[in-house]
Amino acid sequence: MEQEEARAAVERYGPMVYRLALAQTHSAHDADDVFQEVFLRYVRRAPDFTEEEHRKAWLLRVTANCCKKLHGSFWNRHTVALSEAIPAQNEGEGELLELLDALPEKYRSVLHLYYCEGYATDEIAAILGRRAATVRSQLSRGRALLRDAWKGAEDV
Amino acid sequence: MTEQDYRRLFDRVSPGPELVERTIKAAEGGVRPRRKRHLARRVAVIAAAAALLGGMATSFAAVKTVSPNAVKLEEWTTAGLGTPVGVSASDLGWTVTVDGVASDRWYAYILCTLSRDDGQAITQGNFGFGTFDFGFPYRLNWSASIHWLEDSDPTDNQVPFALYVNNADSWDMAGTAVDLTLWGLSTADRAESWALLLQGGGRWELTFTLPAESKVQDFTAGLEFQIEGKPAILETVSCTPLEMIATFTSPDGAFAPFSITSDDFDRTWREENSPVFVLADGTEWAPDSTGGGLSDGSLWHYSYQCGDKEPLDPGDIVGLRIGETVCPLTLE
Repeated sequence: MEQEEARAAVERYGPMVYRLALAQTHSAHDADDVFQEVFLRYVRRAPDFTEEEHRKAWLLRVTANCCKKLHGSFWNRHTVALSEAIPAQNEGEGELLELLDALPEKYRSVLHLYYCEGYATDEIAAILGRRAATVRSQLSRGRALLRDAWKGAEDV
Repeated sequence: MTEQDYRRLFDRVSPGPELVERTIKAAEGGVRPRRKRHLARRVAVIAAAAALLGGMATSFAAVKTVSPNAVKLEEWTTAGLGTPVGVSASDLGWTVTVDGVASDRWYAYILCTLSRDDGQAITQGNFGFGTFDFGFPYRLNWSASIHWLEDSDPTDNQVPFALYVNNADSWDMAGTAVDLTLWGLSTADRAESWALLLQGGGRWELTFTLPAESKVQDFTAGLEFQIEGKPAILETVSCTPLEMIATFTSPDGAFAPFSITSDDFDRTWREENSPVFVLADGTEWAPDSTGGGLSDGSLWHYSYQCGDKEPLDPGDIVGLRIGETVCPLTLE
């Protein structure tokens, strides 16, 4: 792979990869590690994409897999406050960060790809390698958890 | 929370310039970037190693959890849902046999037997392997677990167990070659476990191939019924040795009350009206989850796990009950 191509990929898709890594790991340290691992794999594998959308989906998929492997390590089975990585700018954001902290890991990447990257559930299923029905179920459940927690926060 | 709130929050997130530069340099040079070392993790690793050494003597005696699922290969094969394998490997006086496998493209349930070569009686609850691997290409993600199964004959020299492999990616497991390796047998007998450990723990290598054809059977497409006066259709029922998935549609959104994100959601109503399969002998099979689908109620899926129950013969299914209404089903 040409050096310029690698640089262009990091600059173009770096924020997208980093956002997903942070949304999934909730740790800036881990997101850094995943970010580096993803682009190193990209350079080593040098996958040939005919469409830019395929390149984007490949990077997201590898990011999700790297996060999953990281979470498999016993020392990563701890919780890190997302607010340490993304300081809240107002009270509403603080509450949102607290809700996201409480969200189980399995829902994070589905919600992130749906909310932040604008993918449809079938596309998310292809990226994450899950069944479309599973993704729809996880999206539905994840949104419900956020909504229930949000309502609970308002009730207090 | 709205999508905008979430997007606004993450719009502020980007990798630091130092990280980007470090990554680009590493990528251009083709070398693995130096990772920051986490002090807490180092301490944890050292502590875990110390605990492992210190606790090794007592860990052998731990009794393994035994699944209440008494899966029998004969039952699977009789039902036409499993494939016999019959390969064995022996080491340190113990033999592992892969009796058979039931699989589809997503899961493989590998039925095995552990036996003592000296003929002494053994029974469930006392055994464990340190680790195992299936020899799949590194790029294919998977997860797996060992289930020690109910021992139907405690007086013989063998115990059954199963490896439940879950395809954690979108690859097709059907027809895949498996190079199963199990390492590090331990038993409830401390002296015996130490003896095994001092000899390397043992290593059992077994090679076989997962069935090339998925055992999925589809039946009863297009069954129409009513939910609260709205038309609904049972589009497909896909039955594997391990799982049954039912897909429903409704042009009028009859399944909206099932969706927790829908304004029509009614938890009690959903519990009372989740589709239950009725078998020929009168028993009923309820879904193992709340299902999932589109919030407008036009599409809904339900999963019925067979692994914790018994092999399912689709021919045994005679109906579908929704609330008080039972709709007859027939095999395609």
